Amino acid sequence: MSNSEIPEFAKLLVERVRDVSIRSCDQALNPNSNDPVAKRWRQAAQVQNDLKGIARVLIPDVVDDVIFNLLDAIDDGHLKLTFTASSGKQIDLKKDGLGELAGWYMGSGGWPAMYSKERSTDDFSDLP
Amino acid sequence: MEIAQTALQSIGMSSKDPWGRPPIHLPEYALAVSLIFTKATNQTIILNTPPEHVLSTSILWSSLAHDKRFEQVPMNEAAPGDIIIGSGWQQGADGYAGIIVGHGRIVSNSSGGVQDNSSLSEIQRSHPAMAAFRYVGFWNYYRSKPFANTGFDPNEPRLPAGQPGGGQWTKMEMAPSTAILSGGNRWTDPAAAAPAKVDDRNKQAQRDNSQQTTKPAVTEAEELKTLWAPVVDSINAEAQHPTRAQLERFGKAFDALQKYLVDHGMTPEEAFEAVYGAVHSLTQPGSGPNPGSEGVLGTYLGKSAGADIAQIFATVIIGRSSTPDKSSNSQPTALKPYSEDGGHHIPAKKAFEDDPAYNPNDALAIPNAELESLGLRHSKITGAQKTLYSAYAKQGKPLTWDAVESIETRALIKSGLDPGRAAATVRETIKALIASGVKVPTRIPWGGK
Repeated sequence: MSNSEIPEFAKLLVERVRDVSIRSCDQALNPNSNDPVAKRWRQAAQVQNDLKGIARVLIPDVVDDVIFNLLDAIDDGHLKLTFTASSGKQIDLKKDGLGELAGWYMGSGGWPAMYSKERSTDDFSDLP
Repeated sequence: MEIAQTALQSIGMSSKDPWGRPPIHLPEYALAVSLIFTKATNQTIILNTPPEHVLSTSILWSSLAHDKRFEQVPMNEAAPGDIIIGSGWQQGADGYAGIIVGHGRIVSNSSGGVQDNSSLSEIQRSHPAMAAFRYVGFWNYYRSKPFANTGFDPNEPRLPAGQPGGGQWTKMEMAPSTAILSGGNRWTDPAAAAPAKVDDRNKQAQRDNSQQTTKPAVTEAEELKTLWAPVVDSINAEAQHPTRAQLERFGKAFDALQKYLVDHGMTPEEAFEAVYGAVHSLTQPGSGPNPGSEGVLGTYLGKSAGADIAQIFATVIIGRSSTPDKSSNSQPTALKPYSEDGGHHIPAKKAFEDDPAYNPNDALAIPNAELESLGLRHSKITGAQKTLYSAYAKQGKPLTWDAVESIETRALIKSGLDPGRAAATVRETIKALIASGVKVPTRIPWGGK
């Protein structure tokens, strides 16, 4: 890391994605929270009787939250990233994503439902 | 017929938007229905929401569909006193709400105030997607419950103590009583409307947390005892064949107690179940607050049934009310310009970014500290917003303030915010946007370019 840009990127990534995600997941531990994830975690803690059972519920939610916050940082322009498609075309993720990437990931029928081969929960299937 | 009669008596009443928002293009249909309903029943049509705050037909529809005081009836069975709603959510800007008053006529709002201004058949022609809701009062809760049972058998076997449900009767289906509705609408035979099933273990964990950290206050307990007493009195008086007056008294006492719990931080569903659980236990011999038994109340609240009812309620209440964000459910959450503490924009900023009067840094947001305090998570609010806006976009209609209000309120509720606070919060932010010069939403977020 000889130049100054990489540390700047690292700082933004840690502050805007890692730290925000940890705080967000901490909020799901608030016993008074009615957030769907908070409720799911509390239920898991009651129903599951081993670490593995509880962790299996928590892991996808934590991963989704981290990805959400990465996309949110892109949407808000804090992380200015481009993507090079297999065709070679480069796109500006904020501009071409209309600042809506995080929502496209997290909403009902979002990217996990479309592309993931691992477990995921649609918390919005009862909407609208 | 009280609701229908009140509707007729309300003709000519003014029901303008109390928030002073510029008229969109429709009269405040939901507001008129709300005011008439409260006048007729002395209850709010949306739990925990002041009557004058009910301004969205779509929110009204959604609320009545989940409110156990109401049942949805087929349109061809709609009768005087029934509330009919064409949701703005389902029909874009063309939301509608009114009250059937007889001879197929409907009383609803108009630009000139409340009028007998249309017929049911006309409305159905212009609004094919409509729903009729009948107020059935509190008695609907209890028709299939033990204390409403005329065929009560004291010799019926009960589950042994020490196991889940211990002390409860072995068969729960009960013969219907000769109920008289507190709301005055004609009686139909609704399907047994049991309270929504909840995860008792989950709720228990929440209550345990509350009980570990707080102590009940004497004043709270005294207040609750005062509220609880008329519930007990009316139950004792009801016996097997309650009169209408007795039922109304019971309904009001139940309502007051439930409202108290909601005002102190419970959700309407939790408050209902808490009060219902207490009533249920009281009406089962050998259970409830009688010392030494294991009643439903004790099981429900995680205490021995010998504990004092008010103390138990107070413990729960104090536990909840120790969280400052839930102290007043009809008040908006804390809101700050986004530039001050970031947070989550309400409404979604992408709906207004094309308006030169809109500045996302000045626009109100629920600040991060408040999100944390409320246990709300940015990711889930965004997910709910995206889901609702995308669905709206598929209708091919322009985005209206009414739709924004409905979507944003539902998104906050889905994310875990109390419905009353959600509605008040969204209303506050929309009011601020309008005051800042934003005229209309310019695009549907997550609705494509």
